[in-house]
Amino acid sequence: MNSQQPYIINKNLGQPLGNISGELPSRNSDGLSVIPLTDEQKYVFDKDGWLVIENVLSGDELCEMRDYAVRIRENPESIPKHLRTPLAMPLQRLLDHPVVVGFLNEFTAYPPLSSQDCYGFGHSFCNVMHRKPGEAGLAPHNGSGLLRFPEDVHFYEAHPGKAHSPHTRFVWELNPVKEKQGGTLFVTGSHKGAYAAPEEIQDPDSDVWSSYSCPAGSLIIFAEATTHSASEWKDKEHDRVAIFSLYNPVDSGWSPQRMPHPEIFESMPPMRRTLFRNRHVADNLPGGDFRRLYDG
Amino acid sequence: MDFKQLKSDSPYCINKNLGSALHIPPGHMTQANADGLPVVELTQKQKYDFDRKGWLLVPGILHDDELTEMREFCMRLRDEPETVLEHERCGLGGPLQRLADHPVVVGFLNEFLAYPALTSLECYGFRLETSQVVHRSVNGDRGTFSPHNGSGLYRFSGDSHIYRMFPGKAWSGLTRVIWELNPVKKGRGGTMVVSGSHKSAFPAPNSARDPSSPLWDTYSCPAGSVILFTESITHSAGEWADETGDRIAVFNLYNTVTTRWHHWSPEAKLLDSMPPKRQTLFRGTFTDSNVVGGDYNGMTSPYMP
Repeated sequence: MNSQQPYIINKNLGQPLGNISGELPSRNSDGLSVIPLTDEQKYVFDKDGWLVIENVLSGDELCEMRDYAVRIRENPESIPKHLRTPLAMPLQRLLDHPVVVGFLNEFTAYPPLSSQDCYGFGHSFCNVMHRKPGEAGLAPHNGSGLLRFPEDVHFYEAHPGKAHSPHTRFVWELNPVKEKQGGTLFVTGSHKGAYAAPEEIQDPDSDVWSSYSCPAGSLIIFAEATTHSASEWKDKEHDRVAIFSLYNPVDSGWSPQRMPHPEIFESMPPMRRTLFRNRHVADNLPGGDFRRLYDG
Repeated sequence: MDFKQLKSDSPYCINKNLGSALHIPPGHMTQANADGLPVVELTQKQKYDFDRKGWLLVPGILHDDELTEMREFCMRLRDEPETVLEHERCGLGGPLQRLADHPVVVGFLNEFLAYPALTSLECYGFRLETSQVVHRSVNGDRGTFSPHNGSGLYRFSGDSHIYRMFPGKAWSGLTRVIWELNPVKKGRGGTMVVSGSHKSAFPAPNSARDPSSPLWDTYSCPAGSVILFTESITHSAGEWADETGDRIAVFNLYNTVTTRWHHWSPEAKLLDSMPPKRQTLFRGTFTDSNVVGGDYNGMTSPYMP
């Protein structure tokens, strides 16, 4: 297919931002190579507003993370209080997993605030979602991000060859998920919806809703601009054990900024800490000049 | 002269959930400023001009006695800063504080920046990012031509310099408000703008680097005028060349509640001295329920009451 680099407007005088690939981290804070999205993954996310990447985690790594997530819910006393969070222990590695960084480099990062040592996006919030049969229910929200003003972060932007998802959710499914048994529900394409949702949106069985099945260790990524909802967990074979992690641009956010416990923060590699810097643009690139790309 | 009235309709602004329309009840937006003065709404022509050009001049707003007091404060700030309390040495000190939410400014920002779900009668729907006094003189700092920004319509968010619009409604993102406390003569050093460049699809030509190019617009105005522009427009300082007077101006910068470009805040003592409504200009950088005296969840609900 014919294709070319998109024309991305830089800060000054309508000049193009140019080639920024060197500004986006190629390794995460654990030294692992970032995994860029494939062309197909980019296409699917942009058209649907959500994406499933199967089997990102497996083997001992998956078992260790699932065990820790279950302990947080089932046996919290066995863990020091400040470590009862997915920001700690094995789950912390998910924050800047190579697949996560690859996605956010493409859809969320602001290159002037990014470098090989610093992420161009921020982390907002994460939690363990542990659901048993009968828990949770339909609560549809968001949608139409393309046609919103950027005033509440639930928006979506797209130009030929490039799209931008500022407020983006990652769901790590640590147990298998069977279709229509309680995975997150999406209205495919609703991040670009022009019309208000029909009344049928209030029926979890309506065909406006899409969902997924996936093996344990899979990752679901969606634009918060997409209409989505929880649904009742129905699988009696497995609980839902998932890590929900929310990212935002460096300069903005939905909820008040939540910092990790100081001991957790201090234990993080320096690059991972850049996920938690203050929300603003000017002078907010550690070790670099945020203006360096502005004059092309 | 009698004009025929044009047909128009309310714009369909997307609410938070399910593509529902954002319903703004009459009287919902902030109606009076922190000093109790009624907000001055923009005229249809002012809205039209700002959207097409990216900037707007409203001449002669401040009265002589206000101007004298404000100018005198600015001069003290420059020449005798020790006579001004330390926490007031900025564009929000003394009488200048009233400019931060002047009725004309609130009227403009209610239209072009405020997020209605974070707005109430007690709370502004926007933030104030920075406030500074600018002195320019032919015998001192004249200012330097330095063109920047532009093409806000086609930028991705992430650096605040964005402009958006739909039929019947526009949104300015990072927005500058300049109060000219002395007269400004055209071409003698007022701020320079490339009208319409907030929507430019092409990069600026080389002639934009020449301050005498006809690409550049500027203004003359009496003392006490206000210039409002989207920071997504290409603009520049002009070199001050008026030998009959200095430029004394207050530059205020506004943004959404949810986003920040700068990391400046007024000192705590200054903030504490402000009326409660004015303090809402400086609240935390986030959205969720970040409104004083409002009903965020009610406003964003997609369902009929």
